[in-house]
Amino acid sequence: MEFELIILLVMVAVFVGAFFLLRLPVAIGLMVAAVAGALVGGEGVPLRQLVEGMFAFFDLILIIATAMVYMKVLEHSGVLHTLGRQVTEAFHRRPTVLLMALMLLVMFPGMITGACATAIFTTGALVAPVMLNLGIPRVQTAAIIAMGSLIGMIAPPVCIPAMIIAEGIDMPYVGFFWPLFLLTIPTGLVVAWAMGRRHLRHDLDPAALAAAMQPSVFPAHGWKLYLPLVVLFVLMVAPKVAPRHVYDIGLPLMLTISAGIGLFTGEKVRLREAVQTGMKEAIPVMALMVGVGMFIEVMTLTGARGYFVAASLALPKVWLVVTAAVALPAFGIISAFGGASVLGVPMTLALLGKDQILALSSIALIVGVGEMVPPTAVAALFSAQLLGLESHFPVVRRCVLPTLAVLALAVAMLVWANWVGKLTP
Amino acid sequence: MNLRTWWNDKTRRGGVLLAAAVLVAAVTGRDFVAQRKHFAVHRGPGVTQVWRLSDFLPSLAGTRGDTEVFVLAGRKPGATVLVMGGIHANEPAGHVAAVTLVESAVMEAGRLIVIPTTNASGFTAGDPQEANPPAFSLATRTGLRWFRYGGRGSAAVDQWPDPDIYLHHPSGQSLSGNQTRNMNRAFPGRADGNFTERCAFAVTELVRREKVDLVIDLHEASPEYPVINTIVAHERAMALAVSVAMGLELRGIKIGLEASPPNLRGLSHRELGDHTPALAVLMETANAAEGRIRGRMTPELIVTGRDKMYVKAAKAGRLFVSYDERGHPLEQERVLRHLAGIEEFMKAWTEENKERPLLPATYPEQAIIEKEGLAPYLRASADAL
Ligand SMILES: [Zn+2]
Repeated sequence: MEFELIILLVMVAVFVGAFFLLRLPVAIGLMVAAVAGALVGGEGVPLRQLVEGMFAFFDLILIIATAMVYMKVLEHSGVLHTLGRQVTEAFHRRPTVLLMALMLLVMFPGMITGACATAIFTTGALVAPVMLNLGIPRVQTAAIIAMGSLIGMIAPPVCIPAMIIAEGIDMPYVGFFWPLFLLTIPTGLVVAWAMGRRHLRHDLDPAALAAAMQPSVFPAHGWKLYLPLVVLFVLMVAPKVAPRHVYDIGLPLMLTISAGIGLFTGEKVRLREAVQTGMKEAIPVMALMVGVGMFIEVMTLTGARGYFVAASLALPKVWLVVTAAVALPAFGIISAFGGASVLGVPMTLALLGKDQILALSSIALIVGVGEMVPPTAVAALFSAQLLGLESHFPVVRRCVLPTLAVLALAVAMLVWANWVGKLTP
Repeated sequence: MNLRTWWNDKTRRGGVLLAAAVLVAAVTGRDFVAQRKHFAVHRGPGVTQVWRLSDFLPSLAGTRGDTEVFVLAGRKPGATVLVMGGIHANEPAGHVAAVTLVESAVMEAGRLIVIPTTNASGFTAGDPQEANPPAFSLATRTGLRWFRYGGRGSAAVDQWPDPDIYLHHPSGQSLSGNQTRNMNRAFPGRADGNFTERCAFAVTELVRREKVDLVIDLHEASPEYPVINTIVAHERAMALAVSVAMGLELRGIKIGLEASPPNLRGLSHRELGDHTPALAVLMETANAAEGRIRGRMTPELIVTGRDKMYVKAAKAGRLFVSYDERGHPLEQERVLRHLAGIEEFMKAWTEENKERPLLPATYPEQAIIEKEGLAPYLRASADAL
């Protein structure tokens, strides 16, 4: 057995042991596993690399922290439940159409920023109360939002895994819009319908519904209540629409500005409490990113990463598609984007010869599936956080079938990339 | 009081954890800042002037993007060639080849301008998750010669945050956000752009103002990357590159030839070729230390290029270069390829432009490098790591 495989196995074993036997949080488990891997690899406790590794997710950590505070401010100001109430009252007669519209809304931030966390913590927070009002159970709501964020992350125009891989093989990120669009938008709608339809109630009694929902604060504040949402929307969309004229100030600053505005547009916000509870809920997720960063860096340092990639690539070419379907999502346990760069690029190079844009779009979707692979399953984790669930595993369980369906679609597309490529001009 | 009750006190536990975090931050922070110290490049016998990149864009002065520009002018007039190393600080062959030229080459006719650390900021920090060592060393006759090993882009502390999408100026081509700090996607750059665009702009200005005739940008690539051991040439430089490839072939160095793709923007050969009168080319060698398939990350890997994971991938037919247990050594192979390539470019240029030659008087020799590495051409560093 190769030494690097032993390191890899030790890291996995320590992680599993820490998580399942010692019941340590996922994040701490990853950190302990990283240190164990470094020790076995003869690197001692490599402080430099442990700290360097976590900086890969520095921006994401800032986004999570600011997004959680933003959400708490919205919650306090009353805008979340008021919007949920107004939308429900307006559209409850056509719940299926509403559900699909909500799905597109969840996907939207992922489409323009390429990150599933953004989708969950922004529009995910808006649609959650509406879905609950429609009668979808809390866990199922979390699952639908998680799936929407995952698919939205891959949907065009911004698909980071496709961009990372295209960059890695010197291919311009051009011509991806329609393949990605066709691969994701219908999929998202079908998934929403399939996951939500059993729970939708078509016979909602308006009076009972109104009584069940929190009272609207719209009469007290009027349209200004929605200002923090509008400002965030404008800040996020403007740099994408007019990139030459509007500077992208970064999501953390956008969220902070919008949260600041939210202090004055609705019910009184207890700022100290909003920040404290927001941070408290954000910490497990932020710590997870730190742990993931350390874990990957130690894999790189010790050669375990190289072993994993080399072993995946060394399989016979006919098996390469199968390997892609297994290894790319598996890498998602630690990081989907990391998997796109580290494994996606050599994988795609090995699969060249097929229709490149279609093949790459399918691979991007396979990479996206990685966001749902437990125990980390970040899409489900963020979403469970949003809905205030104790654990994200029930959410993951509800997502197993839809995720497998998405994976099957992506693999089928990859296999047929050559054939389909001939049909499209 | 036993340990458990002591630890269960929230304030106390918080204090201990906070102190530990501060300690780790202090230790690693010092380590991080220490990488900014660079190992001085000696002024060799051929150096006639030393400029700074900020001479061509004053706003770079005092930033970590400013760097030394060495001028090796011959006694006789001739053309001007610019050699750039270290646009990517994790591709050491170009950086080391440039340093070797500064420390040992002497020009007879024409002007050789060398920038060894073109993206100086990139040398000050590694890329997260790449586990790059901060430096590596080569043996010389007078002791160890140290070199910095950095990340692919400008350091994030010099330019942050990355946008979701990087929009190349002036073409408007979009790339993933982390390419914002990639200097070889920033050309021709702009004077009022972001940090990396400004560094690239200074280079473009240098090429314009000094009337550079030929730009040679030195790079390396991971062994799984198709464009490797190759010259990439702008269309106006293609004829010259063809004779260079033949010249190298005669010296026993096989090299591929690629046309600079017109739709990949921001690269030095594309933009300097389009925006200045210079002929622009780029050369690539094989560097396992920046590859995704590499095994354990060590300074030895950078220098020897020996890696068992790449051997495995080569056996599976997944690479674009041959890879065996001998590796791809930095000195005898990768730096040599760059140095020989530059020499052949000067030769081919002179054949075409006899009235404006590029003639070296002293130049690192292939036979000596193959036998002794770069030891005869480099001097030991005054200070070790
Ligand atoms: Zn390069």
